Amino acid sequence: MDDPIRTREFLDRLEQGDKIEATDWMPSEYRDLLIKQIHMHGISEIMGAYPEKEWVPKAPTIRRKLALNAKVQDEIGHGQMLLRLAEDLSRPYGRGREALMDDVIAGRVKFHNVFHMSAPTWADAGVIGFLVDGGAIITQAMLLDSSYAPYARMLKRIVAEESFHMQHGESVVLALAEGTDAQRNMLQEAINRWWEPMMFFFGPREMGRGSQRMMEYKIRTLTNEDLRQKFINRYVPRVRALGMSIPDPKLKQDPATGLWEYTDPDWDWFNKMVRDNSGPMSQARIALRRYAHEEQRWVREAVNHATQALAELPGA
Amino acid sequence: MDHETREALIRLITPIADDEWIVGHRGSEWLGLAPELEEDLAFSSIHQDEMGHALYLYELLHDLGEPDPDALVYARPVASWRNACFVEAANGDWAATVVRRYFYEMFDRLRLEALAHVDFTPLAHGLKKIQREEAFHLKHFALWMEMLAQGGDEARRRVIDAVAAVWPTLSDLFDWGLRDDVQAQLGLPPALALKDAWVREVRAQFQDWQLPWPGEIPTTMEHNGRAGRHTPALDDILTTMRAVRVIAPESAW
Repeated sequence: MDDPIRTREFLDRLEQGDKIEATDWMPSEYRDLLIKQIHMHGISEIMGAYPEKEWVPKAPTIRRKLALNAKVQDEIGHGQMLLRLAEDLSRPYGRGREALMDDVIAGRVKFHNVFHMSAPTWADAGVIGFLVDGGAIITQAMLLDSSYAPYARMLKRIVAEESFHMQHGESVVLALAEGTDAQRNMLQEAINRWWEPMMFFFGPREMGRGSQRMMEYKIRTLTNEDLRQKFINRYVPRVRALGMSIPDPKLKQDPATGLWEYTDPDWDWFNKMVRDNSGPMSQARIALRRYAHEEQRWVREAVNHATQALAELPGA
Repeated sequence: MDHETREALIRLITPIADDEWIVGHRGSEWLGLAPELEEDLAFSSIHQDEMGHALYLYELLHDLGEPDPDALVYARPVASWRNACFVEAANGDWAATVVRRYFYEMFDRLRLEALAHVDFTPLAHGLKKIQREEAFHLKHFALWMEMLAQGGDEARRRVIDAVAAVWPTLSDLFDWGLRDDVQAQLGLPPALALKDAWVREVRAQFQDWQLPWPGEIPTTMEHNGRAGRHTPALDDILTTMRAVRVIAPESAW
């Protein structure tokens, strides 16, 4: 158990709007919530590279290929930076990069529902940037004010890059919307595929215990429903401006409150998918990470071996 | 510029642009799959550089009267590609990728040095920046070669196997794809000299890394990318690359 007096002092600091640094004392519950959040965030960035990665070799112009390649690289960079934070926080538990990555393969860490879905056309690659990165900006903007200062600082850079990604997605989507019937159909179908997963993306209307504790610790500052409403409010006009429709007949804004009514996503189905990695592409994407991480462990071992051998050379 | 010079420059630049593009394309297949996140980032930057070099050279070709860069990449028949078959082969494991990329970077360094003699200002201008970037690429893959060669039994075995597998496919890399008189006119050294310089450099590094030397580079007659005689691997690349664009070839994307 943590020292109750120190815990009290810690909560007082949060109350006054103080930010916590990596070297500050923190209650173990706070540390564990941060690890869970940042680990999942980092892994989601990495798993989020895969649905778009498969479109890099097929990108239809040189410029699109370069842009998409750079975007996917950014996502992996975000994953790398976030894992560094999670590694730092996990030090008291003796868990480093290898362990945090092993968790993906063993299904011990979840990743965002959207990255379990398939992305069968080029339009999906655009819609991911447009809707998913757009949604990520909304959740991450809230985290800019997180009580954990290293996370907030890192998110500043991440959000700046995500907004480039969103613009990239918007540009891909716009070209399709202005294209041939085949291109427009491809776009509409992709929007139809991604809308429901985006409704799930922000989490249940009633937040779980962990999310509530994160609010109390000021790691996050808005509810799931706040975030979802922001998203709907921002994207309904944008999608309609493209001449596309949103696949939700219940979608309606209350003129008095400004709040949107929407069809609930299939909560049970998505929850089960994220928990059991049972989505249409969950196992295929984990297999890609397994290839990178497990099947190439020999490479990381070789680097360790060589670095050691070089250090032991006479005169080194 | 007279017609002959223009033609010679197009013939000179096309294989270089195609090499860089195909290397970049193959490299992009490793996205998200490299053995370490940090390497994923570095590897991706390197291959974005390569595609950037290709784009610069395709633009030069366009200025010389060839179709625009997207048309060159997305609409050119396979037999008109001039990249070496060496660069179109599938990636294989990390050892094979490192070996292939190290061999190519060493070749590219020597090719860039040789190109310094060509009297064509826009090319010289672009090559300066390209050369700066390529120096880092070569260092990167030479370091990986060293790491794998000194990295214990498994890594060593894999790298030696990869060298053996790649070795017979090296020869078309050194071909300029030009008639001898044109090549001399442009001030370029003969292919043989390029190959000799490559062998000298690589052999010295192999000695440092205590890797066995595989011997003479076999000359294959069956495939020669510089003459447009490609392996099926290039068909695979082009089919993949064009899979989206064929849906509406004339439309904007």
